[in-house]
Amino acid sequence: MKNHLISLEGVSYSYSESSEKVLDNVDFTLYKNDYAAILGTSGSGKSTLLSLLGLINQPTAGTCSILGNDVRSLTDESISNLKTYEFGYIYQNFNLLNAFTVFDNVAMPLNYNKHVHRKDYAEKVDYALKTVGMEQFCNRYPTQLSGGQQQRVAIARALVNSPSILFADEPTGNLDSKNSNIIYDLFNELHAQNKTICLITHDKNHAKRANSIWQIVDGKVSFESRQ
Amino acid sequence: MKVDNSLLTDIIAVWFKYNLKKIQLWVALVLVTIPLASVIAVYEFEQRFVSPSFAAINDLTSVNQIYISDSSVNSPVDEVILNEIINESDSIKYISERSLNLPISIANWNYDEVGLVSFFSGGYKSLGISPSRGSLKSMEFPHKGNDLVAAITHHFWVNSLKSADVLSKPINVNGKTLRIVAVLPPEFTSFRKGNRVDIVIPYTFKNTVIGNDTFTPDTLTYLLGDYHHVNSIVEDITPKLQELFFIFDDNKLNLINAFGITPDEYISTSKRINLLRFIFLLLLIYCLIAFIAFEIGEMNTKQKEYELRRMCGASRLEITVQRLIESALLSFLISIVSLVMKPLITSLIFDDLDLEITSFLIIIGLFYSLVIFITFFLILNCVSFVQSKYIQPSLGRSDSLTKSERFQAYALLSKMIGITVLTVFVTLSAIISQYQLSKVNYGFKANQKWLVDLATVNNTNQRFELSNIPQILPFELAKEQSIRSVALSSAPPLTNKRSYSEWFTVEGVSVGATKQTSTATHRVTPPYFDTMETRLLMGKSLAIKQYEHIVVNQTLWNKYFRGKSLSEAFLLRKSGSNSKKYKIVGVVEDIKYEGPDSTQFPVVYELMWALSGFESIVIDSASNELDEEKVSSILRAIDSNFKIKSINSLEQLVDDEARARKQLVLLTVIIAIAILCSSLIFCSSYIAQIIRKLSLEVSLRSTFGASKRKLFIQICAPFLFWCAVVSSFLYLTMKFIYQNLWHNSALNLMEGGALMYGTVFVVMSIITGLIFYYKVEINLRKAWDNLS
Repeated sequence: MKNHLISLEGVSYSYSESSEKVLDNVDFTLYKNDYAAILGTSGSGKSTLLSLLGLINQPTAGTCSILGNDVRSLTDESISNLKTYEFGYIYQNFNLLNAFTVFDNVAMPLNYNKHVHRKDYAEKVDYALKTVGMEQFCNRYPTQLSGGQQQRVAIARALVNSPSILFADEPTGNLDSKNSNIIYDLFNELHAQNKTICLITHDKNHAKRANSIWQIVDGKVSFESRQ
Repeated sequence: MKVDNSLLTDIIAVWFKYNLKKIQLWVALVLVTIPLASVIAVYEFEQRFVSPSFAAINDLTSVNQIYISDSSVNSPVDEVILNEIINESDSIKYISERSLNLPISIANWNYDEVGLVSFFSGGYKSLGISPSRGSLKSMEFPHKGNDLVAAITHHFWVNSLKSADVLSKPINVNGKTLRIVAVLPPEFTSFRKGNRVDIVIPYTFKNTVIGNDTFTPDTLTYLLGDYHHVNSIVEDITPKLQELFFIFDDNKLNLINAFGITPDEYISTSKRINLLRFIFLLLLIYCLIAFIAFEIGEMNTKQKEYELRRMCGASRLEITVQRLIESALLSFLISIVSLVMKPLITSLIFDDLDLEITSFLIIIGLFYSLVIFITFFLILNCVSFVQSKYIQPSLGRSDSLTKSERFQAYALLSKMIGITVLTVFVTLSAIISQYQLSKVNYGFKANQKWLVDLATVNNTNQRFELSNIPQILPFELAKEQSIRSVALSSAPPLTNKRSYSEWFTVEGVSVGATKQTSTATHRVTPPYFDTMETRLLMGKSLAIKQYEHIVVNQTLWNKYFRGKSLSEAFLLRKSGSNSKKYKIVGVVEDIKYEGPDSTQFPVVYELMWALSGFESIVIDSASNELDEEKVSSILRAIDSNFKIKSINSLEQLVDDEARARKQLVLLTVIIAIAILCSSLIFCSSYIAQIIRKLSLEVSLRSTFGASKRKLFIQICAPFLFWCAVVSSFLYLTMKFIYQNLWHNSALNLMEGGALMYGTVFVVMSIITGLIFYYKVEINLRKAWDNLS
């Protein structure tokens, strides 16, 4: 219990009252410094599960707690602060803004960090880009980068506020095996730096890199293994 | 390279197939054609308003109404000044016109009634007025010694004289015999809009026919000649006139292109027309921008289609032809809808306008459609060109606006909100100014008041003054239980009856609207002010047989006697070379004789000593109805010659007078509501589009920890900034236009204008802000969908 970071207990979720449950009576725990992989096929509900863990959505039934506190008791401001300082999100389709340069894309989360002044943006962004090996592309636009490079920029953006938890939703879904390996090597490095990582994937080989593996089938989650 | 005919057919068929079903397109079409049709309708109304067709005049270019104005009063120009002006150029002549009710009798036809007589100087040839019978040659500027001649109107000839042969026959007007020389054309009704004249007599004979009469404010004066020539002569002669007559210290000579309407009427109607034109212009700009914005959205989709067609092998020429055909079809549709909308709008706005379809109107309609077609064809092609040249095909769900696109979107939205704010402000100002006018005290209470006019057969051998009628008539009528009070008046309000005399102060200062005109002098019986419920501000009312007493209105008192006491207030009345002293015994509040927005003249009320037959009987009834039969029988009992010509409700006259203002208010309210509604719809859909295009950014920012409030501020603040900039610019522009170019409008924008404008801006900003907030919230609910 001491290491519980985010826990789901009897959680169900449906997108509307009349629609079917996407998640049904789910129990799940993300531990501190864990590298958890959630394995499932398309449409099994794994992205929805990540949205609940990342506090993007709220469960329609059951309890979601963070460090033992029920999410429902948190104010909007507390949730916003958690997203700014503790969470980082990585998506399958990168979600970079094509109209912005790499620098501006990575700097965007800093807009909401009250402890970082604008004059320090360059240093922070540079550090995040160095972490993913993309510092030389700072003035490029996303459309001028390859898929693997775009995802590394997206990871740099997720890291720029030094979050403690990274949520990755099929981060290599649009990449070839070479670039996928680069990304997973990066995750290993981040985990080694005490970051908690929650990875969504449908690829068992990628899931094997994680400490713990969870299986999701038709909205029901089961614990698979721990290494 | 050639374009295949089957491709053209296919393009046209596909365009009709998909576009005619689009409700959005039809709504946009209707929205853009309403102001177009309205602007044309206002233009048409203006043309009809200044059109002198009632006088059978085809060419207005050679006649210019001239009047003299000071800071408060517009009045006709005296003959002496007009003579000075025409002495400067042989090609200029002046015309004076005055209409009066006078007794008319024709012995051979046993005709003996009161009729409307117009005294008109001449110029028929220049004005293009040709008689239907006889000749108008002897009516062209005759000299005083010439034979007394007259022309009768076609209406009078047909209805009263049964189209008999009347040429060269004598006609008796006010006891003077004249010879009929012509029958005017059937199109001629009067030299004044809204009147129906029976007889026209040369102005030179006015004094012969009605006795020694001075120049009156209800006379209209014109200069015949080319406008530019006349205008330069008037401008050149002004310094000379200043020296000669010492009248131009604060006075100015003005020329207007209006025939048969008083300068006051022309100015007040022009104000309303200018206001309408301004509002419709705003509406047109607003709707044009909205329509172009709509088309830009449509063209985004079209760009994709063109790209696809290019990939399927379409040449550049074929794509260009397709663009041209599609814009031509849309322009054609707009011109057709406008053509349909125009008569609808015209009848809605000007419900009293005659909408007879003539070949002239059909030609105008076709010309108007062609102009709209060409204009929109050019606009649509410009937009299409700019779109294809500078803007990439549409932005998808997972993209975001570039800075320039964001600027464009915000600038467009700011413009729309700015114009909405301006239009709402203008319409509110118009409503307030018209509401203030409706609150103006008329100086009498109209409810249950009736004006009875007599078709008096005033045989000159048996004048009513011989029989003490002014005393007996009200007394006898007041005996009737349903009548509270009765009085006689020579010039009751809201009628075209006028009477004038020359008055001076004991110091010799001429009393009147201006130094040149005589004074409005109304003859009344003692209970007139009680009957009209007009407040007596000082002193007492007129009393029976006190013929040397007079009552004056507030304007006259303030102009000539301010600060004095009634005991020392006298006026002198000039009659030939003699003058008689009258004592002012009371001051009454101003009666608005022509409505609340007309100029207030000094008025002298004197005791009626005789009944000439043209007076009105003012009846204050105890009920909402007046028993005409009963009134008629009482009148016949007094004198068997009395015959009622008409009975008018004063309340109805007030309503009729206020109708134009009410129409204006109603119209501005409708426009304000229409603009507000379309603005809300436009803002809502446009903001939804902006937020949709920003959806990825909004979702990402929310995952970075941006709260709803922060996101709202981040998105809405630049928009509000632009909105404030655009609105301020529009306000300053409007203020400049109003102060420098358009002062003559039915608005008073300067009193508390900025505060009201600011309030409207704040309200619109709050509404827009709420729409933004709501759309951001909806987007946040779908944040994960946008990202995963």
